[in-house]
Amino acid sequence: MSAADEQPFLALLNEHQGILHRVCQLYAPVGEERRDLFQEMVVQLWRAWPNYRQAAKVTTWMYQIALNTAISTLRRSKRGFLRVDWNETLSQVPQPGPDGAYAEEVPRLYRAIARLSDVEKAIALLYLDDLSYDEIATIAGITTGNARVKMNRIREKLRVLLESDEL
Amino acid sequence: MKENEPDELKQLWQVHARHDAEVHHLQPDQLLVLLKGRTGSVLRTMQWNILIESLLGLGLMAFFLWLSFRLPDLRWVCRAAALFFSPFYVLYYRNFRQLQAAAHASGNLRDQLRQALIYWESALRLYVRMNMALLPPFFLVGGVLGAYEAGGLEAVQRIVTAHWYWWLPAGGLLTVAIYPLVRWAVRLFYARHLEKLKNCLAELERLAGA
Repeated sequence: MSAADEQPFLALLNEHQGILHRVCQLYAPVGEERRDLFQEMVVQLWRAWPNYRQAAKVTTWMYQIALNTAISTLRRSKRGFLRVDWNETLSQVPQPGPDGAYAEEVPRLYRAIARLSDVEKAIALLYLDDLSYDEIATIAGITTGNARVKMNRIREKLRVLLESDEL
Repeated sequence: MKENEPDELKQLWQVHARHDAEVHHLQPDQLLVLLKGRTGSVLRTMQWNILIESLLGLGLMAFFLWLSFRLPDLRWVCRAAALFFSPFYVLYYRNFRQLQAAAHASGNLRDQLRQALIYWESALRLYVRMNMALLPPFFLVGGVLGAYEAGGLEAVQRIVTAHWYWWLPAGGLLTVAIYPLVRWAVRLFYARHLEKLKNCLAELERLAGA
């Protein structure tokens, strides 16, 4: 791809990089894994860029590639397959607001989401990012009704987890 | 937190996500650096492995051709060994293309996973078969060269003529012995990852069919 292709892609990436950061937050929240995953998503988006059809909403296209990369990328630590230590990880997750607001809630939310499967994480992310059920269905490749049903189950699961003393 | 309802979670997530994105925000020049970076995906790694193996194969072909001039007594064995490798380049190319296709799967999440798994499983099957076909003959040629080194042409002739009936079972035994090794290596590097992807796809298929 030429340098002329780079500029519109970079502008798009710059505008919507928040999507990639949010995917990283769920699948590889900190450290080297986060950097690797972010880089991998950028490379995969760049590779898919020539085939991007303007007909698709750009954010839908970005979510599709980013989530597929997050789920498909083999992440390994030096000792083998990546195992996220959530206690260690949460100490490095930035807290919202300089006043430490939500200081207690954010780690609990992360721990609850960490218990979800990769597919549930993807659907939960789309929901939490305020996408419509139509968009969630388009990105995941399921029907709108099933997206709604699944999200209700995930919400219930999260509610039970957040109410439990396990977290 | 116990009183937290899901929509409050949405609000909490969005406040946190915005803050996190601000903390990790990259400038266009930093994004450009990432753009030029190499992918570390497992598919790409496998493609590299195949490229390296085909280069090694080329090296082996050149070595056997060179050997055919150095060892005139064994020139036909060496030329046959060099020739034997050449059709496998079609398979290497096919394998490479399959992985390329898997890396460029497109569409929604379910379609991408489904396409990637089809191409990937096919590439892995081909990879195992190629190794199964290639390794035993090369061990046997190695045996011939070893015999020549130890006892000259006479030793080779003795093995080839007097013990010719051992060759086929020996090749079969080698194949049987190598198969678990090749399978083990493939499972070690890729099976858990494939299993994970299959589970994700199965979950999405269940959702689509629910």
